[in-house]
Amino acid sequence: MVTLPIYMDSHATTRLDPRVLDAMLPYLSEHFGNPASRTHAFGRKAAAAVDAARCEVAALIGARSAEIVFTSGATESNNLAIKGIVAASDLRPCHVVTVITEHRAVLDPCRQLESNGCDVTRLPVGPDGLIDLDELARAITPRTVLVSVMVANNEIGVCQPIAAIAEVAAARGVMFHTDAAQAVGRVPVDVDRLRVDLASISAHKMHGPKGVGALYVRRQAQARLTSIIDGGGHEHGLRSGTLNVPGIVGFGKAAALASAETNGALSRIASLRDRLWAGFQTRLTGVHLNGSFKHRVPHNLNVSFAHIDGQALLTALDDVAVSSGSACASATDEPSYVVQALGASKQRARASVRFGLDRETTEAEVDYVIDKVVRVVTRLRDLSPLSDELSEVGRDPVVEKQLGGR
Amino acid sequence: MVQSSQVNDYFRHPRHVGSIPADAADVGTGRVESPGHGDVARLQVRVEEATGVIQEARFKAYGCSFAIASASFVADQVMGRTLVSALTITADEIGEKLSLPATKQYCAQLAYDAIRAAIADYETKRDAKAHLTTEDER
Repeated sequence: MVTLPIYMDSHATTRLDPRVLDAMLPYLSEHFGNPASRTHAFGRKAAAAVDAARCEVAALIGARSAEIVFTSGATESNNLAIKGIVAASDLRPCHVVTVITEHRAVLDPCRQLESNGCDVTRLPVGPDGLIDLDELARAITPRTVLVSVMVANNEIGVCQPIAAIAEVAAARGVMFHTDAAQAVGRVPVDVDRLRVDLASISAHKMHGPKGVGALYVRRQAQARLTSIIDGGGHEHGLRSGTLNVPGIVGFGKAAALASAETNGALSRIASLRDRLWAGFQTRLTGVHLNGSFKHRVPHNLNVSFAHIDGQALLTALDDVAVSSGSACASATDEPSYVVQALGASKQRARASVRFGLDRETTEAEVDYVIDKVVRVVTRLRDLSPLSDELSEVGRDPVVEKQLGGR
Repeated sequence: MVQSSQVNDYFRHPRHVGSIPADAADVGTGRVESPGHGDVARLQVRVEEATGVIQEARFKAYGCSFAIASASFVADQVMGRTLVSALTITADEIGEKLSLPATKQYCAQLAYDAIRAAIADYETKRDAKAHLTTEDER
């Protein structure tokens, strides 16, 4: 038995855990104090709740609570890290190294800096979605102030070798930031083991509320970061503005739940994801996994179904919520830049579909999704002149290559 | 992107899907691609030579739901019409009838191009046949 529609788009957001909502509710009503008002009980109540949440978030990533800066979400955290490190540096023109498959919330701030005279290197990735560490080392110059590489990609789920990247950056005295929005709370992330200086985190990707996130800033890195939002000196002067207390309380609760439940759910989520992939592979031809299978978060599957467009697939999958790299499914005119960065054709990029599982996904849901996708793909292929043309003239070597193994 | 009930209907319940033998003398095949987007539409028409009436239409399409709906819509529209009448269908008319958003007007253009390509293919075959017949009669 499954309840429809099925949600399988956990990279976009996750359901607010009811236990998180319960924790938040009092801070939306009777505990309305401003945590900056420590002179009275109302303020102290709110401040205590924020402090507790800060400890939970810190514990989730192996940080100290003084290293957590609350923000409005991972996008703001990325902006603070990237713009804040560049602003604090004396080097001009300074240089930032990032990767072409990063989220827009990293690429767009970098572009903004570029228009103000900063140099930006965007490293390419291989067909597996991974960067080359030697290429990273070569890209770093004496003017490089920051390397920013995400833990897990938001489209293809590929995990970069963060500890090795941090080592390369540290050896050259360069700050290392990672956008960990898709990883923290879903897979174990330990900032000390990974040796990152800055990490962006989001609450709503781990069954917490939207509109709240954090930037982890290693203690030694705090002097090398300048605020981008000023007005009162909250959050060690790194992010001014009255704190979003209910959001932060919810974030703390979500972090505590993730700490307690993530590890136990990992293998179950991975086996459901593998079941999904096996289902597509055994029942359909022309399915291509985008990015490395091995270096991937357990909750992600990104597949291109040959000869069909992702938007058409999504539209036909009316009771299953997934997302696509098809240009028609997004606000842009270009199919997924992430899938294209793997060396894929535009056709493969627009055929890409992202499945995002989470700790609430059930086996029955996975089986329903397999059946539904197989039926819809088959129907759309019957409609597609491309599948015909291939069967008439034999397999097209170019398409074969696209569909072939990694 | 929001799609109209017409697009939804033609996408979910496409009419006249399929292929007819492209080498038949009375069949015209048009295969067109949308420049820059890569959507493909193939429209085939079977024409009665004496009357010039399209007796059968079949389509296949690759692309978004709007492209598939547009191709299905024109296959439906040209059925039973004369070639002359089918050629009066415009891209704007397709866009209007399906309430396509402005950014999806290229799908109407694709379907429009498919009609013209299919009819042109049929006419080329018919004229070549007429030419051969004339040659034989000499």
